[in-house]
Amino acid sequence: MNAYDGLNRDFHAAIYRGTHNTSLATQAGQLRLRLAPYRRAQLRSDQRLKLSHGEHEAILAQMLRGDGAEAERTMRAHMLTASAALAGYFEDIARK
Amino acid sequence: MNWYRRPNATKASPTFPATRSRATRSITPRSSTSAPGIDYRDETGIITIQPPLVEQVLPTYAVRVDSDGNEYIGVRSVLLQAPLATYTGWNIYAAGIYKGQQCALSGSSFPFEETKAERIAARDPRPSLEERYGSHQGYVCVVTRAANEAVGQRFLLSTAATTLIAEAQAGNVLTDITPTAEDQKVAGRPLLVPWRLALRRPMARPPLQIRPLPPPRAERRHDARRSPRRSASAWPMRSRRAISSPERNSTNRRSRGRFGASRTPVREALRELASAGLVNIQPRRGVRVATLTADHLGDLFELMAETEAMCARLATYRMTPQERFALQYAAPCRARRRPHGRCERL
Repeated sequence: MNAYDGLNRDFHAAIYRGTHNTSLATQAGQLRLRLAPYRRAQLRSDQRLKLSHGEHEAILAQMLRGDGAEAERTMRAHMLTASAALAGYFEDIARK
Repeated sequence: MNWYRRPNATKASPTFPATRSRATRSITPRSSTSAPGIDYRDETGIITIQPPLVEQVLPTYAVRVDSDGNEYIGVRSVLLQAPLATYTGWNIYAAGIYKGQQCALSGSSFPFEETKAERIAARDPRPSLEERYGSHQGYVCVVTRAANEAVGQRFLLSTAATTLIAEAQAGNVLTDITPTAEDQKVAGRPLLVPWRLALRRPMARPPLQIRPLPPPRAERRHDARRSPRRSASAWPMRSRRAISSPERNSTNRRSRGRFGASRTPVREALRELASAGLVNIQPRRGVRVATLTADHLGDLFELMAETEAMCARLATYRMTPQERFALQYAAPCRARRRPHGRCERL
């Protein structure tokens, strides 16, 4: 999971750098740092890990294809899935 | 300083209210030096002239007072903010050979009347307790507020505030007055919880100020140039877990004991947590775990999703070939782990 976390961070950081917009990259980096502990929590379910792999592959494919609009949509879905997973994780904790 | 020549008689003074107390009416405090008349030469100190000659009369000065006769300059104690009397830092002998002269090292208090009727009967110009506080509950309320403010201004310890409030509650100020319906509603629970106590109760806690400290200079440079991964992984997991209860007010000293680390690394780690918005560092008050409500967290994730989406779109169009390669390399897809280190599926 830690390895995944590292790769995940590298992947997103590479995208930030790719924007060639320093302000945007800094903002996104700070936001990510802020949410890092929560995001890690949602990765604790194994299924989520596999799904996340798949989503990253899809995003990468679209970006390499040059389909910006589609990559944007996929990325948004990816992040929102992550937050939904987190909500589920918190609910599980609350139930226990 | 607003020093004021102490009035000789209360009636003549605009700054000291006339009370019915006989003592205040006959204030004629005087100190005098009586230098000659003592035989210095043989060092016996025997008075040679009896009574001693008064060489000069020294004027006595008193602090300027408000309409109650209470001092209003300087730091106002809780007692002065919820007065039950006119308090003075001096006292006058009521009888004896020193009658009318100032006592040494003792103050005096001239209590307010309890009700308006009594005050009028006594010709006391100062408002009665009932006019001031309404009821016992009202008095306790004023004391509580003054004590809380003093704690907030760091003039009073919270334990002292708790004691003062408890004393006001247990006291007999205006207990004869029947409380109104509104008083009864608030009776039994303190209107304002002392600041320190409030911290221990999540419900009554004042809104958190989320103001992360700027990271130290070296760290800032590092953040700007590189991805945030190192900072995030540099957090000691132990400290993250240990400071996980939002009610806990963790201080450096306590953390140090708990983590077995010296003060500086703990402080560094806390500062990093603060820059990530996970804890709040309040100067001189300690470090507290920031509480994130579910709603706030949702907002942050939405912002994150939109930001990431924007980044993905812009990066698609703007990446250089090298960056594209780096992205492929970083993509955590299973195919990447093949011997050639490339994602062959794509």
